[in-house]
Amino acid sequence: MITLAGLVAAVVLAPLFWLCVPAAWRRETLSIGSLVALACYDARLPVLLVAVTIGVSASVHVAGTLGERARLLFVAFCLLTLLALFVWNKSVGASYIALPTQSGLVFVGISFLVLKAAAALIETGRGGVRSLTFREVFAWLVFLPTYPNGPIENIDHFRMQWPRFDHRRMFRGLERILFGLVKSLVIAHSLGEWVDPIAAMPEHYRSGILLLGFYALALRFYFDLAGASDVAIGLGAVFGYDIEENFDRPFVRRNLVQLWQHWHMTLTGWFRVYVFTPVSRGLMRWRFGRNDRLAIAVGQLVTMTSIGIWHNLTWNFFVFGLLQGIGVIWVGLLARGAGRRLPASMVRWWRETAPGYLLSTALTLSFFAISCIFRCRGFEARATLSACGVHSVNFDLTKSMREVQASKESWSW
Amino acid sequence: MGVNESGRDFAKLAGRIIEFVKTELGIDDEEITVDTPLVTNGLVDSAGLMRLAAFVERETGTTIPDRDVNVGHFDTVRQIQAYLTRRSGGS
Repeated sequence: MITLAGLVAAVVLAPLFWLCVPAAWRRETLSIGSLVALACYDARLPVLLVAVTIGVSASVHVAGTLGERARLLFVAFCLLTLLALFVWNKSVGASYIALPTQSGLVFVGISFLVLKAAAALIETGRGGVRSLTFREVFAWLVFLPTYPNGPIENIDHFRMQWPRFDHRRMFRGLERILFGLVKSLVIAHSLGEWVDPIAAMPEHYRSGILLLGFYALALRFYFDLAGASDVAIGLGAVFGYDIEENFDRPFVRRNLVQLWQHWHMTLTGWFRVYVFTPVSRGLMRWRFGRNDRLAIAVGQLVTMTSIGIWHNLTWNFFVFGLLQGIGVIWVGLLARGAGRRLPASMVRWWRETAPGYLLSTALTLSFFAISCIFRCRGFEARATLSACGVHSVNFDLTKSMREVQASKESWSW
Repeated sequence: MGVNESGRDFAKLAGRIIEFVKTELGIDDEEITVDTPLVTNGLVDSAGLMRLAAFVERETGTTIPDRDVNVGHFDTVRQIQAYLTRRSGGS
């Protein structure tokens, strides 16, 4: 868990790391340093991380000794264990507002940890990973810069690297950290200052302000997450690692599929590889045959709702994911067909002119921004009712404000 | 299989794939050749990629593992051909 003080300490210690630590010990030194930093935040985290590391590396080793059928069953059992950890952590988290001091039972960062561990296990089940040492898994799982919000480093991408000093990369990393801090601490914070009172009591605001609030909320999510990713990538570079990119201007994309292809790319990439592809192709093989559109539509709905409930096991995140799924199905499977029924000149205007680009981008951002209100539980119903002029409904404001506050804290670092 | 025969098969398959991309995936406003990047150029998204992989499976009678359905193997028609050749044990 990177706090601002921790970030400053890491950057200050970086020259000592490069000067004093022998090249052969650098990876392990970073792992131990990451573990100590995480222990300062929550003393239970190192225990959990070491346990998961042992579990993953032992599972990969055991799976390598089994036949194909036994290996698949074994990996399925391991994945269910991870799923149980994830569900337990999420269900505990829903009833304890433990962020950021961690006084409750919830572990921070488990959602990402589970995805990383699951990826290693699934690749093992598929036969793609034949051996992983404890130290490789340990370095990959505990790497502080990517904890707790990602990017979700692919294990093959990570283990191919060794901390290597490169002053150009180091300066690029420092620059990237600065960009991240501006995004997160200046832009996202300013947006939060403005939008938090609206999210807490939307019934006190007019429809126009609420509409602006929707956009501000989406932009705040973006700048907060993209800023944290910039810091993670920058800090990784300072310590000699190339971390995968995570955001690439998602709000200038002209449709929802493109937006999601450039939003939290390592997360959406994980779900594309391990949920969308097997579900869609499994359905094609199983029942749908040549009706591949239906199989893909189901795959997209399953994927996007999975992304929704991965964030939180609550109905509002389910609805958020479902809306994204419907939007993605529209763009990917229906819109092009619908476009064929329109006059060719109109389609050309939409696809090839600057106003067409601006309009499609604005519509995409609007859809995403309005659906983002489902990420703040309690806000969406009250905001919608308030926008419609209904102010007399008695809501549990205290609870909702707590949830909005918890949501805010979960994005900050 | 001789070189000419193999070349003819590839040309036939390439033609069918390009036809599928144009008609079924609706990319009818772009000129597509065997070297046109389909995924990295944004012409084919992940849904299109799944449909393209299913089409190639049907056309060639090959089973493609899920982990191989990716941009590395399916970005251009030529890459698809190279992948199929590798899978069938060709050079």
